[in-house]
Amino acid sequence: MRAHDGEYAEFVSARGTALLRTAHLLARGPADAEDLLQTALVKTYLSWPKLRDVAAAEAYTRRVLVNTSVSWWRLRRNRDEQPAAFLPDQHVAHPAAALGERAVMIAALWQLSPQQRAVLVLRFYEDQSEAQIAETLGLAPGTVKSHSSRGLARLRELLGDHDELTTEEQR
Amino acid sequence: MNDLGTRLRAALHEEAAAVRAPARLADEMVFRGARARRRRRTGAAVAALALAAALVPVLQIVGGTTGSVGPLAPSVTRTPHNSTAPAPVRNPNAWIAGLPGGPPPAVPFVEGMTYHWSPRPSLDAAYPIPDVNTNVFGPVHGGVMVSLTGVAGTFHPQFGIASPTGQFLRLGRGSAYGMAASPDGREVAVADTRAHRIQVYDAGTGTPLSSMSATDARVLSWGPGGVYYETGVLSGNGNIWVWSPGSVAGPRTVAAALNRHGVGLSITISCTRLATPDTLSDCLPLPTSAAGQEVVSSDGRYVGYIAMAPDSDVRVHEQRGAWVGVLDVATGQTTRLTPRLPSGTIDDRGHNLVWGPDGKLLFVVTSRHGHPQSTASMVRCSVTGGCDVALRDVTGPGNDFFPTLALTPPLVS
Repeated sequence: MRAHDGEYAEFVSARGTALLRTAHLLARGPADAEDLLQTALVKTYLSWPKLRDVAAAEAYTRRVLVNTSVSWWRLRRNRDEQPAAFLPDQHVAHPAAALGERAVMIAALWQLSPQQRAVLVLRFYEDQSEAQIAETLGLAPGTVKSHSSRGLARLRELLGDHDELTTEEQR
Repeated sequence: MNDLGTRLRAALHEEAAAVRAPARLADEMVFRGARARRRRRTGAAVAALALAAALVPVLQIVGGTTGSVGPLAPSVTRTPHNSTAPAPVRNPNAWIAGLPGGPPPAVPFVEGMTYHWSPRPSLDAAYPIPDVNTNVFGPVHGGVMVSLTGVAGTFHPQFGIASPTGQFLRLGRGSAYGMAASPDGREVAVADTRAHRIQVYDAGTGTPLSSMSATDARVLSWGPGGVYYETGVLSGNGNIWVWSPGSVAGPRTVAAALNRHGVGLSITISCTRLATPDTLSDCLPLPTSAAGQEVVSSDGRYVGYIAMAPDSDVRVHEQRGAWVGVLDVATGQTTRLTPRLPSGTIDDRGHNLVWGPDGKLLFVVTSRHGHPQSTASMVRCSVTGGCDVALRDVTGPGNDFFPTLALTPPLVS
C-alpha cells in the first residue's frame, strides 16, 4: 500500500456519493455513471501525489468527470446508438404514462449537446459560477455563457412543447 | 428563465438525491488505482504488444484476407462495392421457369383476397383488400393493416385494419406511409402523411394511444426496441430512428441496434452505414441507389436488399432494373443472388423482401413483363446462392398484382 492510499480512501469515502451524483447527471444510466466515476477516480489516484488537499482533489475529479463524459459522448456518437443532438420530432407522451416534472426535465436535458448539458449541470446542480465552469471545462467564459443560454433556450423549447401537450391532455 | 432555472435545479437535485455510492467504493478504487499504476509502469511494453495486435487484423483487412460467406452456387457472383450493374436479362419468365420448385412459403402473405397465415388455415376475405389502390402491411391482431390510396370521386384515402370477415376498422384518413404492428400485435404504428405524425393505435378498438410529429417519415417495423422509422430519404439525408412509444426518451438515431443482436444500418442515398458493437461504423456503399428494402437476418449476420442500378449507370428509369443481393456484415462482402431483372419485375415497394424461418430470402417477382394479365411468383434464395420457387405463377386481380409478404410472424389470436 502506498503512503497516500489512506488519504485517498478517506477522500473517496467522504466524497464518493457526491461525485457519483454528479456522474449520474452526466452519464447515460447508472452503469455508465459508475464507469465514469471509476475512470475519474483512477485518474485522481494516479495524480494524488500532485494534489495538495482534498478540495483540489475534488475539483480535479469533477473536471475529469465532466470532460470524460463529453469525450465518451463523442466516441459513442461514432460507434454506438446515438442520442440525438437535437430532436427532429417532438415526442408526445403516452397518455397511460403520467410523467413527473423530474422525468420530463431529465429527458429534455438529454436532448442537449454534451457541453450544454455539462454546463447546466455544473451551474444548476453544482452551483458553480461561469468562471468556475470555464475553468472546469477548460473553456472561455464567453463560450460557457453561450452554452448556458443556448441550452436553456433549447430546454425551454422542449419543455414548452411538453407543457402545451400536457395542458391539452388535461382539458 | 428564473422559473426554468428553479425547476431545473429542483429536478437535478431530486434526481441526484436517489443516488448512493456503492459500499466499499474506497477499497475498490484503491485497488483499481494501484492496478492502473502498475500498468502505467509497464505501459511501453503493453503499448508495443497492443500495436502489434492491432496491426495484424488491419494488415489482413488491407490485404483482403477477410472471412468468407461460404461456398457460392455457380449462378451467383460476389459484387465489389461500386461495381458496374450487370446488363438486365431480357426474359424474366425464362429465369423463373428454370428454377426448381420448392416448399410453399413459410411466412404470412396475402394473395388476391386470401390470407395465408400458416399454420392457420387460409381465409378468404369478403373485403376486396389487395387491389391496385391498396397497400398491405402485414397481419395484426384481428386482421391485416392496409392503406387504401383512394379512387377519385369514389372514396378518400384511409388506413386501418381489414379483418378476414369483411369488416374494416378505420384508424384514420389520408395515406399511411408504412404501418407496423407491435410485437404482441395489439398496437399499430402508422406514419400518417397528412398529419405528419407517427401515430400509435389500439388494434382492437382503433383508439389513438400516443403520437409523435415526424415529417416525411416511413414506418419500417416495430421490434423490441420500439418503432423503427425512416426520415429524410427524399431529401438525400436518410436516417433510421427508433422511438419507444410511452417512454420518456425521445427518438434516437440507430447505428447499431436494429435487431436484437445489435447489428443495424442507417440508410443514405449514397451508402449504407453498418456498425457492430465491436467495430466503428463504416460507410459501405451497396450497389444500389434506391435503398429502403434492407432486411436484417435474425442472427444479425446478413442484410438482404433489393438493389437498383445507379442513376449514373442507366439514366432511363424504366431500363434500370433491380436484383436481390445480400451483404455479409462481418466481412462487408456483397453477393448478387439473382440476375438483374427488368424494372418493375421485382416489387421494390415496401415489404417485399423477408427472411424466412429457414434463413433464406423470400421476395416476389412478377412475370407480367410484356403480358396484359398479371401473374406473380414468390422466389426463395439462399445467401450462398441457389433459388427455388415457393409460389409459382399466381394470377392476380389486376395488372399491378403482387402477393404481399408480411414482416411480422403469424399471430396467435
